[in-house]
Amino acid sequence: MRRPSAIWRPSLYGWLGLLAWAITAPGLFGDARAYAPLITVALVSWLLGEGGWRSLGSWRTWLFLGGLIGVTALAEGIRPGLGAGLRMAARALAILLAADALALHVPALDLAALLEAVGLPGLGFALGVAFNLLPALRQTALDSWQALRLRGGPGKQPLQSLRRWAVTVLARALARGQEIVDAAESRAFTPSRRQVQPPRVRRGDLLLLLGLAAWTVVLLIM
Amino acid sequence: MAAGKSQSTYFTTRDLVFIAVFAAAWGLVETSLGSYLHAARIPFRGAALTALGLLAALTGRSLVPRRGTVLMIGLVTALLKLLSLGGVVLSPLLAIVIESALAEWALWPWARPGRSAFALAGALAELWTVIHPFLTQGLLAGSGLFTVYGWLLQSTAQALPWGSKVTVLLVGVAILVPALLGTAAGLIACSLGRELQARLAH
Repeated sequence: MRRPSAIWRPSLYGWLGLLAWAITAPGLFGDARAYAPLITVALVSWLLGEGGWRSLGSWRTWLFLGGLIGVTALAEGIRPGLGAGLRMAARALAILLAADALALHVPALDLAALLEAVGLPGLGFALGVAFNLLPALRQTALDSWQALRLRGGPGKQPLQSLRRWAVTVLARALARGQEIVDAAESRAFTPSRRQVQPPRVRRGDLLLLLGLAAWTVVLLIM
Repeated sequence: MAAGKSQSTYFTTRDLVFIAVFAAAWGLVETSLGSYLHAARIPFRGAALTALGLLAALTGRSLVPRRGTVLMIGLVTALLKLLSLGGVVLSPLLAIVIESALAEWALWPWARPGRSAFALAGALAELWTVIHPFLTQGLLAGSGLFTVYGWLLQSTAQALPWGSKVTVLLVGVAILVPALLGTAAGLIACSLGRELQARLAH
């Protein structure tokens, strides 16, 4: 199936809007309309993205949903409880699928850029540095742990050994961090200048948000 | 590097890089150590993992003595977790942000917090692990879930005559253990921070 072209696909704002709608909309509807958010989120994420429903592959999700339905049925009687449980499960699944779609389709840097724009300058830079430091930090931790083991392991004072290990790892990471600071400042980097612009609102965002608003009105009238 | 509008600077370049270091450390705890703890089936592993993450964040606060540091570390860690996707992310992301916000709130009154402030911050943030499952389950399932919880508690109390005393004991343990872990994390972070400062000074 042909996917919509980029300009018609939602960006950060559209997917955030879908998640917010999935959280707030179920509270507005009772009876059979309570399933509409789940169907809407599933359709939207399937049509506009490639599904990407990671939650459906997790046993914890199914355990939670099954437990929700089962316990509600026990608490409120089989027939009314089953209905209430299914509605709660549908709400939960709608939120999980909307969160999955957001995580899949929105780059973390876009979120960082948005947070920078609303008053957290330097967040994007810190995120980039942290992402690049992570593999080196992991390797340093492993190497230091191996060195500790080669010297006989934590020994009779495990807490002190672990503390020395933690200090070694963090001190090396901070020394590496100081090199990054020197490199950034030598290139005239300054956190006061915004490094990444927040994404612009696309036609796809407006279409999705207006569509959700119109659909909410229709569901309320029904 | 794209040119953009200038904003007032609160964190210097060095502050941001150090924030990144401790966010990476928290991220490492969440990804690598988290898998090990879950596989080893250690009791209170969620609380232990949170305590280790808070240890990293509070140590960072000790080295970057500005209000907002812990919250920034939490936000960067949450975004790092989003970058390294693996299954459902909503709940752990929320937990990281809220825990760092609680720790930040506890440290806010002090420009240079001492050991007791760090201990309080650690304990407060760690106690969130007790409440968090109810928040996320309530967020997912809606307010009807609390009616179900009420029924569960009532049924358990009726079914087990000694149930109420055991329940109180279990709730007490469930609160005390995270509080102690968080307090320990705060105290260790304070002294770790001082040791790292001394190392960096040489």
